[in-house]
Amino acid sequence: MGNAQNQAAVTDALAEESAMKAAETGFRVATPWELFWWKFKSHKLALISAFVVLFLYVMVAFAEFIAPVSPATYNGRYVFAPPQGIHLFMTDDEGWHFNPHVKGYSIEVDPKTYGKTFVQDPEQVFPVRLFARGESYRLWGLFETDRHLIGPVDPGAPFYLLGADRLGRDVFSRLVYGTRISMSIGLVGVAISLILGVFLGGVSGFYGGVIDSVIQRLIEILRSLPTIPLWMGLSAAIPLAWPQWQTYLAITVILSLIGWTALAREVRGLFLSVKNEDFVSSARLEGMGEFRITRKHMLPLFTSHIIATVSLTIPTMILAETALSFLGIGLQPPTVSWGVLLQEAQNIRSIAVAPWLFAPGVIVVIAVLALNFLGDGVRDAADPYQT
Amino acid sequence: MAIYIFKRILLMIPTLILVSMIAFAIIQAPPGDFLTTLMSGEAGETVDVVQIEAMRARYGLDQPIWVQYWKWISGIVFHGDFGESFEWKRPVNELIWDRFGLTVLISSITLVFIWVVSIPIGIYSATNKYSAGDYVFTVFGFIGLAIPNFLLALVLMYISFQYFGQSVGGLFSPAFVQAPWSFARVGDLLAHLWLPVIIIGTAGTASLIRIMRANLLDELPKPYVEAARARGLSEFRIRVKYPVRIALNPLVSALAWVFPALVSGDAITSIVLNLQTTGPLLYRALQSQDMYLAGSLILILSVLTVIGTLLSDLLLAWLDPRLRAEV
Amino acid sequence: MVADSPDSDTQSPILSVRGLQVEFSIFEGKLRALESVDFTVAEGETLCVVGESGSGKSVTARSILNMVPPPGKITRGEILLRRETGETVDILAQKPRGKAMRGIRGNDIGMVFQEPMASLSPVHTIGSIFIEAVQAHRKVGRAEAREMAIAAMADMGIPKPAQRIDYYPFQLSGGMRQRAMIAIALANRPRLLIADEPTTALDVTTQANVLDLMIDIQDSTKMALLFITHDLGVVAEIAHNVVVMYLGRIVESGTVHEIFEDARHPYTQALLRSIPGTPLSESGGLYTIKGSIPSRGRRPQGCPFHPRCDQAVAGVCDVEAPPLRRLRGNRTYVCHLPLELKG
Repeated sequence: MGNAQNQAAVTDALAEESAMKAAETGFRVATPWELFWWKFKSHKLALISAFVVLFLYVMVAFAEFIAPVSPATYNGRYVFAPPQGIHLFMTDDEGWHFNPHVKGYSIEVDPKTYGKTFVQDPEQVFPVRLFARGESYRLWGLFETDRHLIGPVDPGAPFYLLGADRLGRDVFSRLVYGTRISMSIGLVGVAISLILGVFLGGVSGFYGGVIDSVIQRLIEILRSLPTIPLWMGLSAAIPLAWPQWQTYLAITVILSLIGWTALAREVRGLFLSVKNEDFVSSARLEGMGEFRITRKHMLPLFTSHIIATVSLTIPTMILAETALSFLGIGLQPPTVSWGVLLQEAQNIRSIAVAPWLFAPGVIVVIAVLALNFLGDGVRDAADPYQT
Repeated sequence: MAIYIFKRILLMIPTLILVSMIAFAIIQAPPGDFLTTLMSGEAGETVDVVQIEAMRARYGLDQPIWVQYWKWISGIVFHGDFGESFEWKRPVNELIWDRFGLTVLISSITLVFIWVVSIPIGIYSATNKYSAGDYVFTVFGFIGLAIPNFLLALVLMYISFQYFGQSVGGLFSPAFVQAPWSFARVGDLLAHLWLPVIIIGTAGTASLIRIMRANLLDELPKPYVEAARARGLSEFRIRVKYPVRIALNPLVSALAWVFPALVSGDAITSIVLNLQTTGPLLYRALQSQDMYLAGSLILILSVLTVIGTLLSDLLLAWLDPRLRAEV
Repeated sequence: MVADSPDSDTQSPILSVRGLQVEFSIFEGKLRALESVDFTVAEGETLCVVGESGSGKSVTARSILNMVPPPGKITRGEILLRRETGETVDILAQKPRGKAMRGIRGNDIGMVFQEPMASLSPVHTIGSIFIEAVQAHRKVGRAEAREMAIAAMADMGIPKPAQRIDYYPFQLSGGMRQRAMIAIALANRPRLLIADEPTTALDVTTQANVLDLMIDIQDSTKMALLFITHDLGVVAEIAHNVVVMYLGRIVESGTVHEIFEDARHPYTQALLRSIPGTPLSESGGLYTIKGSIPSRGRRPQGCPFHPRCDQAVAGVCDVEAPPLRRLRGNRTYVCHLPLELKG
């Protein structure tokens, strides 16, 4: 009793305190979304993560614009060229002035091994600008343009912000396109899982009884299986001849087959916890129909919890897709995803020569971290009165 | 307790049936039957027509799918016959058990590693909430969960290649790869084992630390802790005997999904590090459409995790008297 | 039903609490949970601490064991305990987690909690908790401690103690659990037993049984009993002396006769009027105290009870803190009434 009682007393005092303050400034009942937002804002890491996630999805939407070149563009001269830094200022006889540029490469050949190494050549200066002209593309299949967010003024100049891979393709551009596939596969996969999960979880929690136990058993069985070998087996069955989008969809479905269980559990738990709450009973006593109760009283309560679970499920999908594509049994080139990109890093000698091939790995970690923090923040904010 | 065990084992049967169906579906998944693959010349140079007909009869390939399934599963259950690997031209049986043993070994050692590391850290983090150490472990936990196994394997390989000039793949030194089992070979194995164990165990350790910490934080303010304090017990004893003991329960039930995750992690890590476990074998079998081998491996690995889940349930029942009494 | 009162004025007390003050630090500053709490408990005496929830009774109990949970902190006062050897120690001078303090808890002072289910570990048997409690304070073997446990359970009127000792708390009924809890609290024959609402969570019949049991134990052991409750019916049954608390302060104290027959503080009077079957309640029908106990963050000025007091005098009670009036010895109350003419 002791501790709980003391804490309760302290919380009471605080609640009263804030109520008094509210009374002084003109009393108003905060809406659930306001409460949610206040609580969420105070979780700094979650807030930052929300921006990171937003940024990644902007990349998904505008990949063609953000990437300087297409993912397939290659140049044999720049195989394994190291990353160039963007220099903002330039010094000449007149002193410093603003002139963003990258330095070109000169190639040194080791006289003994004949191995090539790239050296930055301070003599070669290639100016860089925003909204540079480059390869033309159709954004969302609608607007034809050749503007890119950033690029060299001279379209033929080497421009490798994150270096080049074994075919002299721009790692940065490929990363942007990979982000489109990997982040969207999480989203599409979760959408499929969500439909399955909310439906089966809802049925399970709402009806209970035999239906509930059957669904629960199924979930337990699916959760006790080793996912990677299973995924490997299922995705190996996807014919190589299938077109890209079909493979993409098949992989998503395979990932969702396991992914829905977490969502179903969450939804069922929510249903069970709320089903007999006082406010639901009182709504029922007032003669409200079950559907209306579910929609008006239960769903709003669920939304934030479901958002939280969704943003915690997306990373598991991303990690799974990455792992499968990395092994070469998920998405196949020429489709570009983080996993496909990391395939380039599979060979120890390649990464020894070009460690920047790890860049997709860094993005994977950042994306997963951000989604996890975001999910945690949303979940905490979903219970605004809990401390 | 005996009734509980019996019930629990009974409940396993539908799971195993479902698992076997999934494995069989994977065997069946590639277009055409495998004899087509066999005859296309990929797997063998010259194929005896008589031999092919014998196989067709053995696997019931001209019969309905459920007969094929029954032939396959009854062969496994009653005769231990997993079929034939076409790539290796040997019974699947001869190929898998050595590797399966190593998978079990690595997964089990990793499990012990996870527990030994995460329980003390979880206790420390909960009892020193918001201390510097707690923050360090929290950050480690989040990163550990976010970094995929294979990426960690690649990074560690890169580091050891770049800075120590050695390749760290494999489970044995070259001298021991083909050697018969001996104490020296076991020692060599153990010397190679730490890397995969760390790689596979990182994510699990990270999540168990979080679970342990959260559970213990829930338990510490409970009245029974205060009551124990009022009896004059030392703080250490109070914690270890009561809240830590109770916080272990969810940790044990977490085993149910930690173990499958370990087997998964073992598969992918072994492929990257080139370890002689089931992972690379499955990978190769899938690539060459050696479907009986692949299906058998998936089946065995699934059975392994199902048994792991069973053990964790039994352990939980043994730990928690309330659960035992319920059934 | 009122037990005979040993004259606590003449006996030297086992426990004396002087000027106890406890503060809770929260964001806004400090909440005073207890202020100038004074009382004594003698051998064989039952002192009841009465008050509504939030009055500070539980914090008082925990202060005596020097285990006020954070963010609470004992900021002033002394708690003197006379030990079996005759020496007197100030509990507040001990380190809360030190060895000396642990030697007192469970040994000199036993404690019984409100919720027997929550206060017993769900995954340990009654026996293992008992044995641990004994072994924490004396060097006895496991078998011997087990024998002690069985004997103690039998003393508490638990049937089939040799079997029940291996039961888990969830396998016992509420009353049996509380009996087991008392047996554990008494394992080391403490000279003072603190019981924090031990019967609140029990149904009425069980409650009566447990109370009778506690009275019997006290008769045979002559230990001091500090009984915390909000139930005046229970007080009438077991108390020798009574302390009434309101918002962390003692507002009235005296023998059980004095409190029930001649309550001076309006709060005590109101409490008595709100239970059926007492002279005060019979005179004017059942009574409810207006308003509710304010949280400690908003302590009213003047007399803390004045907003709820039906005898409050405007200009006095809401302005000045009331004086402590001592009628004799331990018979005190804190109130402006009766008003004296100034000057």
